[in-house]
Amino acid sequence: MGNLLNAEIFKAVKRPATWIMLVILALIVAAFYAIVYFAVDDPATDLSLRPTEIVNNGYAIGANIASILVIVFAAQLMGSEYGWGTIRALASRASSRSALIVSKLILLAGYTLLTLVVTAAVAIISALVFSAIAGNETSIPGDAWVDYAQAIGRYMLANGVYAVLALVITILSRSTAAGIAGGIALSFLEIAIWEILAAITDVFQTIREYFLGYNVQGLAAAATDQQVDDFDITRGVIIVSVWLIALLAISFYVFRRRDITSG
Amino acid sequence: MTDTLPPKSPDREGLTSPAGASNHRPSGMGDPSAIRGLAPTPVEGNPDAPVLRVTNLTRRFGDITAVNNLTFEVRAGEVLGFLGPNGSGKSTTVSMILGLVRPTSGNVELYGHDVQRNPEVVAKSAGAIIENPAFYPYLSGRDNLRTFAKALGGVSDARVDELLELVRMKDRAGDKYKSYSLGMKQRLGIALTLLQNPGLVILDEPTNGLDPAGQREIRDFIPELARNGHAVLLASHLLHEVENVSDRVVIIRRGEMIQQGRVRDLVRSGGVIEVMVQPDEVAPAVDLIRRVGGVTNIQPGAEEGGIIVSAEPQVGRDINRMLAGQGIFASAVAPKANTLENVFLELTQGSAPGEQESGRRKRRFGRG
Repeated sequence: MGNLLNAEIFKAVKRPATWIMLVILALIVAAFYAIVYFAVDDPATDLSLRPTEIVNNGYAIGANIASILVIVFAAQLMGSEYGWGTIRALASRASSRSALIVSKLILLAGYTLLTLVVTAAVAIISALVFSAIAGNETSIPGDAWVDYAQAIGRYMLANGVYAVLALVITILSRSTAAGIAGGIALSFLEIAIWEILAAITDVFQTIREYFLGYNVQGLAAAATDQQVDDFDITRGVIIVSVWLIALLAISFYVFRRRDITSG
Repeated sequence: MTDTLPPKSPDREGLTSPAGASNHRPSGMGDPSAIRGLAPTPVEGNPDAPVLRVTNLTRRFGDITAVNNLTFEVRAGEVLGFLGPNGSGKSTTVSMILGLVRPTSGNVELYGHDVQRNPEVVAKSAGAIIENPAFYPYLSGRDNLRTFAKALGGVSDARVDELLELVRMKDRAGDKYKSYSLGMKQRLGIALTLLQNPGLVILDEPTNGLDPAGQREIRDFIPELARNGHAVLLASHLLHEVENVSDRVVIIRRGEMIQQGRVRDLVRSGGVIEVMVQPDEVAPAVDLIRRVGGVTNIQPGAEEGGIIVSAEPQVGRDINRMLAGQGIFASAVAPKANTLENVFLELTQGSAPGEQESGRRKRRFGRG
């Protein structure tokens, strides 16, 4: 398994898309602070630029964009192997198919974490720089680091589950495009669909609480100051974790059992 | 029973043991040190078992039986030609050998290990190109090999460079794979098959896209692999290529084995007579030749007006008499050395090796 993970990391490090997505993410977060600095009337008093407020501002924006980027990464991770036809060469050189998919999942988890760490780092640096330019306080209190770590943890679960969902769709469809489209569409449309259904009858209001969208949205909001009313974080973590385990089980089952005939 | 399997002494003339492999350098290939590395890495297993044993292998896709009850084996030091028209089940068989496709029944063993139960034995002991070589387009040739070397584990960068030298790709090894010609991709694919010194090397159309010099190099290289102790399974549409380098052949059609044996025996097994008539007389001549006793197959000849008849040499006189009796005077009716191509076409009833079984090629005008 270590050999396969080593190979997966090597491919990811050498792949331009890996770095391009991180650069885009960093630029968007940095641009947010630049825009706020120039847009607000008095940068010296505006809370949006404060390093202590990044989980409500630059980090929240970056983490939501990161959720799309990790969906793209997940779909490419498996879909490209089918698209380029390398899946057969890789699978026949893997110690087992389980080891192959585990190595890809570990890489996916690592990249998901990396996007959130980069987002937090760029948000912190940007906030410090623009706060300094505006003449604000530039120190970061100790408890702010706890907020940062919690925010990374919650978004890790929220973004990770959609990344795994994209991976499952890619394995089922053997298509990068289907994985990206399916992952992004479900991450956005599910919430909208439940909103419509919940407006029809309260039954759907209850049912939606057991699906991904409601809980992921709740977890993401809980990382900021805009918490969803009556949202139980512990219950949300459990439900998202159950979905995550179910999606992982599907990806293992399908990839281990299915013939590798294409590519 | 598990023992470390030593590379077997190949069963052919003029061979060397793997230890002496460095004395044999295939013409046109690179650095001899790379050849030294070609002796297969020993694999734990039954020392008496063949490298590859396929037993009653069957695969059905719904109502379609792609491979039906196929049984054959390849021993160390042997080149087995694996022939069949397109769609005959060759790729499905190779995919089952590599554990990529599950058999409906039957099994595949590498060094006595069932590949379905022990998938790691495939990674350790089989290297293959299936259909076309496939690599990561954004990586260089060297990095592509390094990627698979990392996945396998225990393959050094020095080994990667040796193989790049061997397939004459060292000068372009740093270029992106997507910039390679088909021939260069094929060379890289051959390097990939040898990465872990596998005991079984599966080559599917290895000369596809290579220029004549490159084809010659590969033709020389395949027997060298066998001399070094590798078992080679060679699938190719170029029958003269298979005939030149294979010890034995397996011919399949519609998923079933229709013949297997030593190339020499198969080629000797039937006589061939070449008949030359006027081009506009070919069709009536074929109709007349069909009526002659002892004729088993009729195929178009390489030249215009040529007809290749599968029959014993003495049947030539009857053919000549039949044609002359109907006013067709052949310019030649002569026994000809049989070839694997003739044998193949006769057995597959005219299907060219590159032809889909579902279709029928225009040239076909033989029996059955």
